[in-house]
Amino acid sequence: MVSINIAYDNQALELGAYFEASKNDLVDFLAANHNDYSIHEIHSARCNEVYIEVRIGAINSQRYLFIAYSHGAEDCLISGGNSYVAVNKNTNLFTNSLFYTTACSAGHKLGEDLINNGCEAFIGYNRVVTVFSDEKQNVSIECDNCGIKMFILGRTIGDAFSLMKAYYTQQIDRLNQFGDILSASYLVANREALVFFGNPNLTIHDFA
Amino acid sequence: MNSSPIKIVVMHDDLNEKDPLLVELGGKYGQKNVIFKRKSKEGLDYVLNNLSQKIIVILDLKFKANELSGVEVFEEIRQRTSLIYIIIWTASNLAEVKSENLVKFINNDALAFVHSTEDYTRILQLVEKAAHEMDVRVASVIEQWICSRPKEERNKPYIKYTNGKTYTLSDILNEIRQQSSFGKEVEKNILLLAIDLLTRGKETLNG
Repeated sequence: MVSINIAYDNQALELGAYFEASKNDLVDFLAANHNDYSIHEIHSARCNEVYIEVRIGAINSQRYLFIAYSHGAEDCLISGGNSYVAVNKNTNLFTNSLFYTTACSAGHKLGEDLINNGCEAFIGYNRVVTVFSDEKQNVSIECDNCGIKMFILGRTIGDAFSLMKAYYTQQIDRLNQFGDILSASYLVANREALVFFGNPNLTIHDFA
Repeated sequence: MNSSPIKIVVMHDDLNEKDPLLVELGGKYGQKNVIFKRKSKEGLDYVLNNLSQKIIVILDLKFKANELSGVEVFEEIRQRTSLIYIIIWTASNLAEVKSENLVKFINNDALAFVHSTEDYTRILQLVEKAAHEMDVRVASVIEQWICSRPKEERNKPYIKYTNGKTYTLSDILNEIRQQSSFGKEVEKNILLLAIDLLTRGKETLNG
């Protein structure tokens, strides 16, 4: 059984609804496409270092997935103005994890530090990224979740990363075709911010 | 996306409508696209009420005592946008201009400083240069694209940075005009898009 741990800062100002929608999108996808998993949701009230230590500490002797939808910085994930995963604080907890986050900038320093502390693979963004509002919000969610969905469907994490970039490119072309060059340009910037670290050959079966 | 005509706003209290410069500008860019204002406040009001237009300003420095000076007009425009080209055209010698005003002109991208004793063809050359730059400058192209959107679309939330800030298209337009770091990033993103499309063999930029 695959252990899937999803942190989402639903209480975040401005983007709480987006983070929750991203989480729901993934949970719905899991329900439709994979039946041998357990999901543990970590909402805003639990996005703190104390809870993370307790929860992750209890599961990290086996492989697991950790997915995070929240604000971020170069060296941490942030909820309520405080870090809940941070360099030099608790990255050593994430041994045996596949760490997937849509937080801004976490790929700049946090990603590599996680790998150096035993995390198996990391996908994230290495700079501030943008998401769309209103009717285009689903484009952002689909782009953000594409990589983890491809992994869940059985692709290696390395292939999933490449497919995520390809999906971004597809959406860029679609927006450009409709004349929305500004939106297309933001997706280019987001795509170029994607980073991957770790073992590209891992599959979901390695986490069962 | 249609290219709108350039408006040339001439703010000068020593000219009349038959001045050779105005006649030449009218002939080249269209009479209705040359806006001549003897009063600085009227010229400023025109500019600030038409920021969605492509505008080049030819600006005298000295106006009557009860009117805004050329420096004040310059500052007012620059508070709103960096995308309008401003040519200072004045009878004042460079040495007569206060140094703090010169610093303002230099630091805020005045296109040129032309003494009125110079042949007016110099102004025509500068206007032509500014007109060309307006057509190719990314910020101006983005400005035109946003202004072509319906007003209700421009005022809807458009993007959110994942550091929490939400922008409408009108907000983005303002950032571009102010040449803020965010506005410059928008320009950079458009260039990245162009490079991405061209290097992947998709040469057409629609819209």
